Amino acid sequence: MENGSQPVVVISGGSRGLGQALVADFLARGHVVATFSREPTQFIESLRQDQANAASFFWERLDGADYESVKKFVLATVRRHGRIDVLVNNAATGADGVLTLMRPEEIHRAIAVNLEGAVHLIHACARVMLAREQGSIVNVSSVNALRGHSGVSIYSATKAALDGLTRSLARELGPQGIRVNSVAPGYFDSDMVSSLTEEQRQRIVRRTPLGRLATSQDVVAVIRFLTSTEASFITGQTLVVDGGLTC
Amino acid sequence: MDHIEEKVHEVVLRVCQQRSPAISKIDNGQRLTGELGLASLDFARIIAILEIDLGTDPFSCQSPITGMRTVGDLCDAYRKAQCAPAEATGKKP
Repeated sequence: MENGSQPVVVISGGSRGLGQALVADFLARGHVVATFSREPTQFIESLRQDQANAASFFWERLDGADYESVKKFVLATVRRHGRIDVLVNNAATGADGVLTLMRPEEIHRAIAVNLEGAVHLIHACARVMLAREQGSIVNVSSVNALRGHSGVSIYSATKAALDGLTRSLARELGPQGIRVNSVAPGYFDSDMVSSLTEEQRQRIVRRTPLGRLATSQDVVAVIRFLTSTEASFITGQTLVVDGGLTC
Repeated sequence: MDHIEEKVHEVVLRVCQQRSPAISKIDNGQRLTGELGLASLDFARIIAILEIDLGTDPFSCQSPITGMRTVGDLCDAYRKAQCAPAEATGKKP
């Protein structure tokens, strides 16, 4: 088992969007990054093919809703690197549509990926963190957990559940040196908002005090802070990154 | 004392001493929550460390965790897990 001094970060859904930005940021700062996604992307393949990343980047193809696969991935990460210091629960799927028109399997899938998957990953990683009595967990939530919007009820429910999970786990794991926080981004450029029309985007911008959509770097910066020693006395909190949209 | 008992005693002692430095030794008759004063999270930590060190978690599908009363019960659960088929224990082959 390798046991280097670089912090080891597990990021779910690191192949695109915010996950990709997080992987790039942590790698650039000298962390070891272990991530997974259902499919590789060009970004993942380029990292895997670069020999300079051989010791610091680990990716596996898996479905985060499958507990056994997640458990094996976490154990493989621990065998390779000896520790897990940070977990970022980023993987999520959208579930757009009015509830009464959604199929049961769409509802189940959204809950399985967004909530059960996050719980499975925390269950596996927190055990490793417990063994060392240290760690930081950040769950990527959403402003939809704070405010209601038509057409995203299941997505909102899963994100609100993540915030509740965050608070309880902060109480449960805090005595063992493990911090748990969540980050609630507003609308930022990602696959999940690519379906917005220009009119919808402009309406959001008009309602945002800081006058723009977020960028993925706005969210990455907050996650970077929460997982750093500068946030060592912050736990159980949800930091909203929305330019004031929900204030 | 076999290697499982040795490892279980070592980890239980390590975790107990963080709560109560006065505890100096572990034996199989000691009650986990009574005499040793272990709380749920202490138990979780012991299981987490043993999973990494022994490569198995008997409580994932085989032994009920609520049945663990003494250190000896814990040793027996890990011995049983080491002997059981891999898929019954969550242990990697």
